[in-house]
Amino acid sequence: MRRPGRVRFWLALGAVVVLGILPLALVVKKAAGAGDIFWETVTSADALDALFATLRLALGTTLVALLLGAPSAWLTTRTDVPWKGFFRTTLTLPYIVPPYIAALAWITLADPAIGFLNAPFDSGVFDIFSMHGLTWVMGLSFYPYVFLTVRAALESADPSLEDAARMSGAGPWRVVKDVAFPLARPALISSGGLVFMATASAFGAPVLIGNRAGIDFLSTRIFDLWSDDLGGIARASSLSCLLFAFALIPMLLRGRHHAVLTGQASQPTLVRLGRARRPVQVGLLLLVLLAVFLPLGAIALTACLRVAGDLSPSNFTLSKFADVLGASENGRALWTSLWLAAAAATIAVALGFLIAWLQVKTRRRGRHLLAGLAALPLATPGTVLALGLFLLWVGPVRLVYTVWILLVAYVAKHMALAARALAEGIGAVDDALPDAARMSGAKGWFLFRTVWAPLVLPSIVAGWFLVFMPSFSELTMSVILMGPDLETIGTRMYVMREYKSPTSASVLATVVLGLVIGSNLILRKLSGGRYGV
Amino acid sequence: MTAIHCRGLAKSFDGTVVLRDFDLVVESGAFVSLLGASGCGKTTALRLVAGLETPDAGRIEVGERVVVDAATGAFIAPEARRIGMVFQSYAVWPHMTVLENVAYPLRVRGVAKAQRESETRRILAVVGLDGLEERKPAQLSGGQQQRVALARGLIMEPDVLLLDEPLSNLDAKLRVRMRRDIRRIQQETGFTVLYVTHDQEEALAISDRLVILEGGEILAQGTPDELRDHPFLASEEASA
Repeated sequence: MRRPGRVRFWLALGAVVVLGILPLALVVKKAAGAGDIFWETVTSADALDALFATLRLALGTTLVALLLGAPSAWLTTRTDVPWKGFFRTTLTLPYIVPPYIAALAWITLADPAIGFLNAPFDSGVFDIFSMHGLTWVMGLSFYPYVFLTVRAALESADPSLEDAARMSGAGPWRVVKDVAFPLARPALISSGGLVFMATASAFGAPVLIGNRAGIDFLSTRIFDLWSDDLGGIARASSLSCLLFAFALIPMLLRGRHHAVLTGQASQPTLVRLGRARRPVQVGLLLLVLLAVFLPLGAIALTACLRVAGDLSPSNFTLSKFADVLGASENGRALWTSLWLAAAAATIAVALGFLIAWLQVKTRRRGRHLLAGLAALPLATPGTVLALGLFLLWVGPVRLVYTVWILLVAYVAKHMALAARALAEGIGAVDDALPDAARMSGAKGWFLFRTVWAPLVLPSIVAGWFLVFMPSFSELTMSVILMGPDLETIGTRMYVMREYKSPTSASVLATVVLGLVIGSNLILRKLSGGRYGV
Repeated sequence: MTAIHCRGLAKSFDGTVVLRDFDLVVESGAFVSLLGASGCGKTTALRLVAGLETPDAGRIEVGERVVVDAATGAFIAPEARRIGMVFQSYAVWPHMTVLENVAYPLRVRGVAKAQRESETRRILAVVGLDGLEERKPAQLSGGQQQRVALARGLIMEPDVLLLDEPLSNLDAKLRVRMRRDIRRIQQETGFTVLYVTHDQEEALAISDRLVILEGGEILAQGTPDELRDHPFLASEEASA
């Protein structure tokens, strides 16, 4: 029996498998085929050290993120702390700043030799090149996951639940303990799991800080092994399997992936902070300062200096912008990143639409499996996915060391972001609207163009930007997959930080931040505040 | 002549049988209603005829054509069946004007713009919407949106028009007026109507013939006069 959508289903499944599943399967196959090398690699002292360091970093970061994110979420939804709107926006900002840029920023702030924060002291008081330093940077980068998830949970919870506890005689703190905290517990668990996973998978910040600190993590170790020699690929694959399993542990906690949705504001009875109102406000301001203004300011400031670390007036200049952006390799890298991200976003939206439509509007068996498979690469550490893509595209169709493998990588990694946004938009369309068009004789592309596209346009735009932003600033896969003459804005920054000048890296970081924040504003405007921060 | 011929249709969703042994013959030009409570399978039967669902068993002919046959796997897509349909929720596209909504089936078929507009204006006059061509659906009342949906179903002059509870979202007074209008237009134009409703008064007033469905099976069928004293209708009246 002919079923509508059969061809499309197999098309989408084929695309998802080739883009994201086959590469992962190849990593597993490579590791399994390595035999003794697998056990030798996984049980080597290096690997165990890296595993232990990754565990420490992930747990520490999760703790920092929970301690920063959960209280600030409660304070900005349930109390009468002043400047709530300001805090809600600014505290979410780190969400859109790539962690490696935060790491660059904190290096300019707390480098023991030339960091701004160490300027008043003779010897370096703050040392970012340490486990504590890295945990601090990652915690400040990832606490918005907790903040957003807990805030959404509190906002969607019926305020009368808490009011009822008040009326039963419970004081404000009792209400938090007995009602608000249990209500937020699923959000704490899922967002904590997410932070754990994101930290264990992270590559950029750990490599920038860990290298100088002499600490290896699983992700950076995979990168080192891989660039070693021929036998390195088998070793890297072996370690990838370990990292993959490790990073997916939190999924068992039913960690739902984040969605930057602004929940509708309900109006609960606010807890009066009384005399604590000012101190709490100052505390939140301090967090905003540390998480947003200090690092972003440091990046912008460094971009305006002739020599890093020297704040004397004669050292200020804007000429660096012209120099750095005028350099042909930087201009080329910027252009490459822009068109790659735009192309990846366009392809991901097209594929994401198909996946979302199949999942939401058909009753095909396997539609949920399709959506699940499409989401797997997003949950996979970038190092592992990049390794798999390398193994797949080294032949017979050879894409390695070309720009096309980056396009494939960006689409594979981020297609789930587009699919998720589109599933929401498509789900909101009454079935009768496209059905009426079919009964009028429309089908295929015409049906899509005249009815679907206009109706889900906001989700199409949101999905596009949700893929564009992380693709534009992508570092992990780009560094691993870049070849000679193949550079993106992210790899330029990486190379500059490693070998050349922190001020040049800061100039590029400022440009990336400007573009990402600009895209975010457009996204927020176009989606009416539904997406974006 | 026969307009719609269903034989042995069966359909289940996720293991739940919603329609079984469904046989129906609708003569050309007739107005036939499928009557029953929600969940009786009447909308599923209509959607099978439309092609928006595919049957697990059975076959359907529309006019001379076999549009679906579970035994042979034959299937004509809904957009190729040349059947008009009016939905319960009207399904008027919010991003198009009244004119664009109604002209859509002609646009699909590549009819030239000038001819499209004159055709559309003519059909809008028939349903009593002349003068509202440039309005967006949001600026229309429920009754007006219903007329847009009706006009859109009629514009390609289909042999068969399917109506899925078209009046259930209108207030009582408007409902009576709309059903007279639908009946009048049908008698003037002579197309065949398959009409789904849960309102027995409506079904008795408007139809040439009624088919009563319960639990996915046909309970009875006949003319309004034959069925007026049927226990199903009597029990409903008693409970109402």
